[in-house]
Amino acid sequence: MKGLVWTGVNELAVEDVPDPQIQNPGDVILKVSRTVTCGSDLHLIGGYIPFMRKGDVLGHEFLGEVVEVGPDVRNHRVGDRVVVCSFIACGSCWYCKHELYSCCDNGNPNPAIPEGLWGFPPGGCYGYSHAMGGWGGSHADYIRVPYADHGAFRVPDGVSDERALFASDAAPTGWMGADLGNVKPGDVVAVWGCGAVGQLAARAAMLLGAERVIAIDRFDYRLRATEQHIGCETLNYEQTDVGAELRERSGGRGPDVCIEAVGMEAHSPDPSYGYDQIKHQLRLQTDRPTAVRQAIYNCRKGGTVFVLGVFGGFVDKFPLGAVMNKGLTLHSAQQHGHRYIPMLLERMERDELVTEHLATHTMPLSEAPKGYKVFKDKEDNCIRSVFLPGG
Amino acid sequence: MGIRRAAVAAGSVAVAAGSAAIKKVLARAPSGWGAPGGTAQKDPQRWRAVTVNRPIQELEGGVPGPLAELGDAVEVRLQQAPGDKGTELHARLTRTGHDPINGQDPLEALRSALRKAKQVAEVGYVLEPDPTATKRTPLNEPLRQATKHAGGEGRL
Repeated sequence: MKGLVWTGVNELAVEDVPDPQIQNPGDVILKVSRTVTCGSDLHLIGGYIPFMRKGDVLGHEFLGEVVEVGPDVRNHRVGDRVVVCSFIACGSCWYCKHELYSCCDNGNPNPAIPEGLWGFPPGGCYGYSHAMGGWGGSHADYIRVPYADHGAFRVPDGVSDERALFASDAAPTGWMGADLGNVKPGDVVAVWGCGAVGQLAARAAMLLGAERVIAIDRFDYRLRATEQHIGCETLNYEQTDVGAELRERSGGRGPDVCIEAVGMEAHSPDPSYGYDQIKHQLRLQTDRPTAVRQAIYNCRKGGTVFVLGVFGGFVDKFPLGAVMNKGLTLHSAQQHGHRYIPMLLERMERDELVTEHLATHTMPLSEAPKGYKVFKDKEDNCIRSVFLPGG
Repeated sequence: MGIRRAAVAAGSVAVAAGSAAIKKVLARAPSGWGAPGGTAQKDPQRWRAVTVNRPIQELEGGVPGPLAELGDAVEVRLQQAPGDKGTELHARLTRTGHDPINGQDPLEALRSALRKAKQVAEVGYVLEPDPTATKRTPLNEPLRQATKHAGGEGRL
């Protein structure tokens, strides 16, 4: 079969890769119908998460058709149209039973690598480096789905492939930021980043009853898309004083919940950006936490900051003093999608959650390297590139 | 000339100050600094543990296969975990030395067996990784080695 493989730092190619096989009784094999780029892939492609090997297949947000089922699979049959959570979770360990699915004890076959990095290993993730299990990615014609009874979800007939695709990762990630950020009716919520995750976090905050939601980015086309399709307020951080705006728009209090949806390659117009960029390029820090710093600084006293963006290692100039002295709650996680995906598919069916506008560029898998370039460089008003295997 | 002398003098002062600072830091260094392997030396006799999300009664009938396969090379004990966390499965090597167990480093074999025993008890089987078709390069050799041992001990 064909797959999009990482061949070196900032180098991608579509190559022949081995077909996946059923290896455990709980597996299914999926024929991938749609698979989408994610901003966190760029950290892998650019070598910022140095656990990729030449030939690894990328991709972790996808849906498709079940073509083969293992003998222990109870919830799926050949022909089912399913969307799959990007994180691989067993459904049986203590973390899964407490709905902390991305912390699954059993989904990562390489636990010693992240143990060395982070103390304990998270679950596995498709196409996301050997630190996260070395799992084959979804940018391919077929993919093996372990623990399929827990990680694959039938798509209701009333939800299109184009919409359901984002129930794999972007929508549950965004929802988790608002849910575990404890957004309540009457809250003012600020979201850093108007990519797919940021937009869907903003939408989740609105659906959870926030009084006012303000999304922040520097690209006008993303801000416009957020206003038009999500329906919240926006701020361009290159054209306005974000801190001042957030403070005044929240009656001088500051936002109750600040959600960071940017990650380790953040930008900023401040001089601190040059400092972070130099240290990042020299590998003296692994991540640039600009948006996290802003979220912490601008959050109201006693508020909550949720870090949704992906970080891999260490950051510099972390404002721990602000966290402590303002009594903030700092929360973060890789996505616990299993707890949200069925509910999100229902909301998609009721048109409460629309995602089609995020797929700005759709193309055959054979053009995936170009799709990543357009996505990375934000050419042609790109929000996400979607690939059609077999096309 | 004057400028050069001043530069040399300033450089000498900087070197002296740096040297004094390093001496001061070393004088206050933790006792483990400089010891072979640092303070994190492995203790082969230490009990290793995982918590299995199953009731202790299920495990009392016999430890799961991957740990049982190590036979008398390990000693095993069970303990009720606090709260709702299940059962703590503790194991340690019964022999000192570095003789391989089933062809593996003994500590790696022990940790790997604990992880697999937990999977068998909780899920019913050991999760097989995806077979890799990646290409070997000099740059990814360290990662290949790390992955090869990635079921074993992980703490640095």
